[in-house]
Amino acid sequence: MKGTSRGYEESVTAVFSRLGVALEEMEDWSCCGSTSVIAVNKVLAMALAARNLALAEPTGLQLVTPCPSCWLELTKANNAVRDGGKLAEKIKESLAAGGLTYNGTTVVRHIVEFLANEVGAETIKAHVNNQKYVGNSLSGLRIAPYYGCQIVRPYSDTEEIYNPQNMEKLIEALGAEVAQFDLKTACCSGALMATRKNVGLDMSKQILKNTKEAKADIVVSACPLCQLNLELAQFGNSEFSGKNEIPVLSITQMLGLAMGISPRELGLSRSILPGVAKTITNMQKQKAPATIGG
Amino acid sequence: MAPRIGVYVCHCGSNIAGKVDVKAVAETARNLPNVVVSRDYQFMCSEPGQELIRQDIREKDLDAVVVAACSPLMHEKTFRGTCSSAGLNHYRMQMANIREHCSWVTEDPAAATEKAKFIIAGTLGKVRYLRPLAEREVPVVQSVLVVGGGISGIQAALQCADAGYKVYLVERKQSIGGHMAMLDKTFPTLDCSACILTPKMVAVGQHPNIKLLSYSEVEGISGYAGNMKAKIRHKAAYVDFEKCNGCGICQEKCPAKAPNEFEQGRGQRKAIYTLFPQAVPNKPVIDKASCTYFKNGKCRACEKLCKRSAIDFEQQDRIEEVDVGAIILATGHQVFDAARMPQYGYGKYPDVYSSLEFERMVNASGFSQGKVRTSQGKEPEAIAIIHCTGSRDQRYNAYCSEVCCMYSLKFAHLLHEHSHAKIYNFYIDMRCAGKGYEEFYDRLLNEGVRFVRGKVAGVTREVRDEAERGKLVVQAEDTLTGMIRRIPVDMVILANGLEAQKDSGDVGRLFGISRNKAGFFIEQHPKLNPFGTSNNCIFIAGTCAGPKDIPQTVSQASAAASGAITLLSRGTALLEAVGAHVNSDFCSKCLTCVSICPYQAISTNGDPDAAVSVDETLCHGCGTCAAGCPAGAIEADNFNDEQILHEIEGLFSWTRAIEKKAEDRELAGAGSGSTTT
Repeated sequence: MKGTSRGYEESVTAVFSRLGVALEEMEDWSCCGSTSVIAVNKVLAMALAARNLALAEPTGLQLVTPCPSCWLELTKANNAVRDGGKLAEKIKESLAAGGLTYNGTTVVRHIVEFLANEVGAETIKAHVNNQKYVGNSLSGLRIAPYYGCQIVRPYSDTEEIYNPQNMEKLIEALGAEVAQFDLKTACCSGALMATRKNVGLDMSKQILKNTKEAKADIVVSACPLCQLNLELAQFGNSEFSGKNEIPVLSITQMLGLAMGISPRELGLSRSILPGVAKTITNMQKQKAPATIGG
Repeated sequence: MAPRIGVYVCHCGSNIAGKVDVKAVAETARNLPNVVVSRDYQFMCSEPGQELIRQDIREKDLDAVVVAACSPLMHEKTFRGTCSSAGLNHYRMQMANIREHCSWVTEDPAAATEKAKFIIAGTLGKVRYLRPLAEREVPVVQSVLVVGGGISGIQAALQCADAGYKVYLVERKQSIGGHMAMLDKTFPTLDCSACILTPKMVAVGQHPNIKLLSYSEVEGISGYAGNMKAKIRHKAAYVDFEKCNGCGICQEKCPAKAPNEFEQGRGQRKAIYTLFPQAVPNKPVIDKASCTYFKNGKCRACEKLCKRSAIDFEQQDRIEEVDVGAIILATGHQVFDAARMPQYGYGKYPDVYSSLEFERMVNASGFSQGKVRTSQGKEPEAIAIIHCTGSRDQRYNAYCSEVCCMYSLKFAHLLHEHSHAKIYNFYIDMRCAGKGYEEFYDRLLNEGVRFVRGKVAGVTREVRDEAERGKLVVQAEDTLTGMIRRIPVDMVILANGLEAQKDSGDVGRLFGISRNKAGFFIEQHPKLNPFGTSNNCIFIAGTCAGPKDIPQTVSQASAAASGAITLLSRGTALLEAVGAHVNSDFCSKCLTCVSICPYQAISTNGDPDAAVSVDETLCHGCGTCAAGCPAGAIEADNFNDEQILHEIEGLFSWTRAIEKKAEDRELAGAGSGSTTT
């Protein structure tokens, strides 16, 4: 978020401040371990994630993460500690070595679920309707909700794992149309893009193609890495250039635009695809007469 | 007079002796108080082993016996017999389980040996206080209740009835036949399912010894061994079955339609309907939810047309009570609901069919008259059959449903007969164990069915190339080639697994039968009594006890029937002697015991001021009341406080006893040393 996904971070900050939800960045947070550490050392991976849970516990605050991978690892570590088996003992030992204790009480939430269920579509609708600056209203555009895999599988307390609905609720709150597509919970290839580029690229391209078949104007993503991969798959690719380019926004960039926050504040200029904000404005202009006329 | 106890330590081959030093254990037991004799033997349950015990009882005048061997579930009966044949009341015999509780579950031999000693010491503490008890014999009612009218219930009912016993066959639907009636063909012989089933259904309907209670459900069971009372609810059918002759005019003329459950909702039926043309009994019922009269208060067409005046809109549910000596549960299964696996597209794409839907599709009297067509009415070019839908999957049912591989092969064969489509079978493993089953698999390989070894990840309409446009694409990892396959097809047939009926928990509670994790009823012994249950008057048959195919179901049903026949022909049942007794001086009439007794054996006999009392015939001696009584007023035979406290005391006193023995020996040794010098 501080590196490749600064745009996502900036948009999260901007949107939450407008919504009046105070976000407090955890002091001294560490990497969750993501998918790589667990492949090498399970205890280490779980301890890395649990360290953040332990740091958050005394604050009594809920831990909201914009990244599905973090959410997954933190949830996994939470489950392990709560199950209280041998793994829990080892995690607690590792934490104790760093002078930390964790009792399993930290609540971990992904930002999409938080926005859909805690903030709620109604609140967001109110913010969208109240704004004065309507230049980037998304109403009438078709938006493809791309969940990726990690926020729905294997853990999904509130959502149907192959047909989640939280993003749909948010898209509809903006007055935009949902472009349903089959691959909305497929994997974008994650870090495979770096190690097996041909395989990874193909996976991301399939998702993009599928959104195009669903006649989507914009793809919205809930994950920094998905957003990056879906942009990279288009970059320098004639299949997706010019008119065929499909802007990929993070969930908060999408909400921010509809709430009238400037593209600059939402970090849109940091997108890999050039001129995303302009592309969206143009789309909106094309649709607008039809919308007004209709 | 001090009790005279014999201890018998079994090696059980190497099962116990492989971990436990049985000689040392027998030696230790010999030194414990009141132990007159302590022996070890290779197989205590063998005839020579039992003879050892009998001899000692006679010659050494034993008045209590401890057999340190396996679980009482295994051999308590054996050793009870041993003792009673030598003239010792068999309730003075107690087993010390040093196999399941000790040798099998302890890694360290030294620790296992010590543990065995503890277990025996505890049992010795208890056995001194065991009271001699006597079982009572009661006559067995000469009739059988069979619950469920599928093939297993039909088989069991016919067999009991043929043996000359009265049978009440209860079926919740309006016709017997169960799942087998829905099947088109049966594997591997490809017999027409209905053709082999309907003669048996007719036989049930006509048998003088069978009272068929269709459209009925068992609501309550009371009574005791061999003398049970079943409360049966006859659901209001709004048709007088006595008057109805099954002419069918009402069905023909009824204007209201509803999805046909027999056709898996793919066809339509009337509001007054029989399940299928060969139904037994061939009497229709009115479905209140879809009947025009019940909905709008107008119509009554069936009533006007019925020449026998059999329609009765005022009919109410009716309760009947029957006395039975044995019960056979044959309540069957339900198929896995594939909507729980949205990745396979069931319910989302119209051309994804469940197994039963396909059975009806391919059946000549089914919803498409046996024609295999897509939802667009076209003949499919390619069809995928997906094995293990909901089975062998930790997220759904972890177990193998046993029949799906074989019926999937049958589907493939039927598809060859009914279409020109290319057929793909996606499987995890082919499980074709059974008579002629592997040969059938071989036959299908030769018929040109394509087999892809890989669990299907999903069925999608997402298009990757033009060949996939308008198709259902089945994605799977082909684990034989190591490639990801995407196979476009026009139709997908799921091999839905079998699972326990959704109300199997209620049925289990009603009859007092436990269920396994998956919800299937548990047999008395998985190997040696796979049709009996923990209640020796209740038997289980068919898929209510786990997935199985038709031959296995029929075999188990016959076995269950023979269990019931054996019980009835013996004429008497033994009532367990262990029971609960109330000390009325301590009873505060809180009635906790009345509410927790699973057998309704405790009551105040209608007098609110009296202490509770236990009906000995109903009591199973489970001890729930004794544990639940806040005043300690109830005592369960052979599990009373005195016995249990002495068992605990036995455990702890063992260390003390051994220490004392060692001290005595030391003293004696010192003494004898001094005399020699």
